[in-house]
Amino acid sequence: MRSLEIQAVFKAVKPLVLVCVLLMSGLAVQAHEHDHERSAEEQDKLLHDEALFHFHRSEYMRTLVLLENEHVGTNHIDNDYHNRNHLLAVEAALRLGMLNEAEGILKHLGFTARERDIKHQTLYYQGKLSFTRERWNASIKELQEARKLLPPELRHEAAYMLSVAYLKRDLPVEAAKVMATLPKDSLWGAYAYFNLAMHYTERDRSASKALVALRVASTFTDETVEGREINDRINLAAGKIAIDLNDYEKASGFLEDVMAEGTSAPAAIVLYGQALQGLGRNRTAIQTWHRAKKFALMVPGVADAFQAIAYGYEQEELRSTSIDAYSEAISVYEKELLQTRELDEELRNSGLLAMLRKVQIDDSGVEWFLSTDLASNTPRIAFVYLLMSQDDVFVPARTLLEFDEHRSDLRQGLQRLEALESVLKKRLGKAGKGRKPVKLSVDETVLNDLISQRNQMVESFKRLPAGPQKTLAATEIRSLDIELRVLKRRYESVRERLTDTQGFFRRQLEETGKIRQEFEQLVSELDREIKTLDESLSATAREELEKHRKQMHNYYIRSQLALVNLYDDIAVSELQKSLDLQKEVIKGAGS
Amino acid sequence: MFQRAVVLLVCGLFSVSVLAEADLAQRAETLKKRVIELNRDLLKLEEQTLTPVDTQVVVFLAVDNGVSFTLDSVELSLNEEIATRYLYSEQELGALDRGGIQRLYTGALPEGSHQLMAVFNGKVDNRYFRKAASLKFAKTSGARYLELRVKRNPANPRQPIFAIREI
Repeated sequence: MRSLEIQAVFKAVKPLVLVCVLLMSGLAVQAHEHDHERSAEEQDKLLHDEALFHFHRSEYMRTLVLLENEHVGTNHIDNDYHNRNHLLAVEAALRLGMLNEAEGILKHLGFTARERDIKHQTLYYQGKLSFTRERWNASIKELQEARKLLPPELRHEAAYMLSVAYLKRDLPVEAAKVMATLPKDSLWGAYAYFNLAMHYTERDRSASKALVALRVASTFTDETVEGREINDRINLAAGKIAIDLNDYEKASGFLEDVMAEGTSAPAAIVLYGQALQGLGRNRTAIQTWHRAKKFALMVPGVADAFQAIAYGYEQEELRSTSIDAYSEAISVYEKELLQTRELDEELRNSGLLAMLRKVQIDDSGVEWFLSTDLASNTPRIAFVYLLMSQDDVFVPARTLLEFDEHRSDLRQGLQRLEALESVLKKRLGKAGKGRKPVKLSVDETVLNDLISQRNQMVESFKRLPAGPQKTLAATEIRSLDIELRVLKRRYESVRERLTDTQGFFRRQLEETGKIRQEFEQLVSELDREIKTLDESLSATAREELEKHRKQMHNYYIRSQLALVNLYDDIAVSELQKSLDLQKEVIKGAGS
Repeated sequence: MFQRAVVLLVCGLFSVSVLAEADLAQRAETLKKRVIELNRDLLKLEEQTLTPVDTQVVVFLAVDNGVSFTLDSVELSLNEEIATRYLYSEQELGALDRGGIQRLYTGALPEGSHQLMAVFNGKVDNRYFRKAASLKFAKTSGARYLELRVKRNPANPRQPIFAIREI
């Protein structure tokens, strides 16, 4: 009851705070915080929508710069957007990998959220955080509890995460139960059943179960780019499983459905050739492998395709065509060895970061390498793509790219600070020329009255019995305290700006200098981090490149040996022919 | 004995790699937090210095969901002088379509009467479309927020409404 009283007082005090802000709005600080016509909720909605614009552009850093600010003029009462902003900040923090930041906001929400939907979304994000931290049991508990009352998009994602968590705990039946709740128009279903199929392949070694799961996964895909991409991966996986089962007919059926222009195409072409070969259709298999030749040799299976073509012709006893095919393979491997050497030199001289920057596609953020429209037929791009498909490289490489992006942002910030300094210096110069200081007294009674009302609230709060109501009231008082502190700072700032303009600009200049120093310090720290990470990742990349080089060298030697053998065979057979001819001549002469 | 030693070595290497990854994540989070804080400080300082609230004018841009108009660019004029021109990327249009609002312009104006004009360039059914909207407004002390909004026209979906209002 008393808590309700406190809330009532808070509601009454709140407009006073805003009026106070309004009194000084002419000279105070933040734009968002100062319009008398906007209620706290309207201000938070505007902030939410502005942050949403950056969020949907994958600018998570910028989203967090705007949100989780001092929420001056905002509170938890009758304000739907205050907590929505917190939730948006949690999502942005999770996407930036700032798990501690997300945890901190979620703790705050745990105390303050009273709306049912916000409470469930808070629990959902706690589940997502546990999921990201690979705390499967906690994640299952939180997501199970939250998911029933979530909006559809979050509910589907929650079901997906739950299914993964169950699979990680080796509970495929539970996972399947959750997946069954996913509607057919949700791509999360395709991903979930794909994971189930992989689980059956790896843990149960049950190919038939895996194929059934993949067939179900395919029914969830749609005609969007993402839907077609995942469908390709499903068909590729199913094709591979069928080949392992020697069921070539089934395999070719799956592989025929893989898009020719998708990222799964090279692997699918190679496997399709194998399936055709298994069906005894050697010529068609060879024709299929010819289609793989346009892809880079870094792409798994492509180097094999060159040898398979030559070997296929050999088996068909088309020796001269086979010789041509082996010669082509040798020249391609030779070229690849040369390009591998060039890539290695590039890595040694400039590092992986420079290479990543070279292939980065504009406007696609740091996760450009997940883009499906990447042309994968140049050695550099194919190599980067191959490298990024490895988990132990992917995570630090993404961090490296993020650091690089932050450093570039900070450098831009330094330029902005320079411009700011120049403006302030000009203003300081002008302020010093013949301006008389303004004599002005600022009435502080409104502020003092607010502070005394706040103290009364605290007295009532002290008498509250311990419990959730008291915790809630404490949060509201803390929120009011923050606002009062800011208000006081503004009083001081306004007084200072009106009475001592020169002093004001001087202090602004000092502040700019201080921030500039911090910017420079952070740039140096990022330089060091980037250098260390780049060196370590470049070493890993060079190791990978060395593996590829050795593989190409093996193919090169094998092709040469095959060619030599083929020439040998031809020579022997020519010799045999000539011996046979000689024998016939001798025989003819003798008779 | 040897096998156990190998297992221990492998476990050791694994835990070292996991620890290294966790350490990197921790360092990355700390650095990101500082980048955010510094950017926030800079933003505040810029607002205080360049566009203090007594002179501040902010123009936002929003597009209603389901409008049959693909925004290409916007030209914004204040008192018949170009304030900004903005060309939209596909990603930005997606963000607007999903409820985001763009802070298109932040500037400073003295108190008094002013005029804002916005020219919207874009496409309707693959045909180029150009339309202007304007608003006269009075700037008093305190910040003035204005919103440009492309709205759906229920009477004629092929003729979207371009509105400017004070918020």
